[in-house]
Amino acid sequence: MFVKSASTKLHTIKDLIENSEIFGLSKDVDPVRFRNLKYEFVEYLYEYAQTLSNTRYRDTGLEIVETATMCLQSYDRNRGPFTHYFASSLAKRVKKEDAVRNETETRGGIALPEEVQRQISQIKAIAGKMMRDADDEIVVTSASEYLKIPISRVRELLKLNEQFVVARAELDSNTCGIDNISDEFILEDHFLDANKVDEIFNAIDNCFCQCRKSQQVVISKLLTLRLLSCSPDILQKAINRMFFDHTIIDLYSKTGKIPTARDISVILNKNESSTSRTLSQFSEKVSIYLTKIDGKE
Amino acid sequence: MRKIIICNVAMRESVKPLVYKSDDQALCVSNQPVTYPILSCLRGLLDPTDSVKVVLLCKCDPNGNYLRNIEQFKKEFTKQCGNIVTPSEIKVLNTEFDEDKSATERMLSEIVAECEEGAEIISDTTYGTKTLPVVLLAALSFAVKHLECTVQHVFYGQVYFQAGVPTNPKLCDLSYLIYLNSLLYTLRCESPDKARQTLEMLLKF
Repeated sequence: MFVKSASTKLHTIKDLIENSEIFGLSKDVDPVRFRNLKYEFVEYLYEYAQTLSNTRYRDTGLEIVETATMCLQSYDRNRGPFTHYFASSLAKRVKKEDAVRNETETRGGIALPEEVQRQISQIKAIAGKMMRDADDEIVVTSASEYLKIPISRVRELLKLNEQFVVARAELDSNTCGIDNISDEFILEDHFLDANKVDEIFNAIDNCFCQCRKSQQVVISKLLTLRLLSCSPDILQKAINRMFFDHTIIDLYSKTGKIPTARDISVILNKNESSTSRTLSQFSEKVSIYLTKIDGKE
Repeated sequence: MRKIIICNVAMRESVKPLVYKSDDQALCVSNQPVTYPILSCLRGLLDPTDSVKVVLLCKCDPNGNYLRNIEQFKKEFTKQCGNIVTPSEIKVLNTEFDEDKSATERMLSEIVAECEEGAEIISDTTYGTKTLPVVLLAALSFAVKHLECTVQHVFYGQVYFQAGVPTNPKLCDLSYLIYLNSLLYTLRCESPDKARQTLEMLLKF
């Protein structure tokens, strides 16, 4: 019943967005009507984002308004539904915001100049693309060429990065480790294209089979938890998959509350930072698997 | 289309008719002087197929000026829009000249009662006591949020008084406040700073 009513709400709000009069209205010709419709339209988009994932998008009012502004100005009706364009743009925008926040947190609250942070991010991006460690010789040389800085400077930046990660790790014993772990593979972002959902789930199933039993127990619970905040259509597709954990749905049905990652760690009698790390590493494997598939096609 | 015209009635003894100007090119504003600003452009907002109800909001001033001003509205409506539509109903909502909570609550309740589901609303908040525009906006916000009404316009006739004479009459529209308010109440931001940035962005949008 929950899945059905949430699905109806998603379709209703999508219809309101796609059929909005704002698309055919000129700001100059009818400025009053345009302005009223614009505010109404942004409100629909906010509600739409909540139906996609209210845990991810609940407090992203600024990001939603920014994305709505940009999308409305650049939308081309011939290229597909507005909701797809918006959802995809919003996912990227929020991911960027998360990355900025994670970078700040990883520095242990110690402020590094923006330029330094940017360079460190770029070195890590180069390492990621090459699928090598950041301090690998080839990565260091490439980064030096790309950033147009001496190799010695690249090594300094890597040392800075290490120092602050270590500094943050020392705080771990007193703080909730979950905050330190950046999950760069955001499951929900990949579900915007309905055609890709099966491909994603196949990749997850494939990687899931290769995990140890002890890892599978953790991964299936945390993945299912993440899926609870996706749209009902996607949840429905996941139900018969190997990685899906029905006990989480049962728990939700009994209590009416979506459990948190902390709740799951308590159930499993494990340390929260450990379970989060397990999911994070699994997410990386899925990301690499998908990249390989894209490369082959 | 079902359309509801809601207008605040003047309490003054005599109100000088003026020719209003508007920056909104979508409005067809009459060059004839009118007492009620809404009537300078209402003709262009109505269609012969519309079913129209007029709701007049009155504060019963001790001198009974509101009664004369109600008749003035009816006369002007007929003159400006009579050949397009005839209202199916003209409803007068009276409240005592009293700004306490119970009077404003009663007015709010009565205005909402006149808002029909799915109707388009065009309103004028130029005249009346200072509480009337606030109460009207609250009622219209309710109608938009819960009764699937559309508020096309909330007109306000702006004038500058020089030596007691109104000058530079301008037709303004405050309807955007209803939709902006609804959006601001719905949105959630991570921090007060981000909330301020969001508001700035929406106002420049």
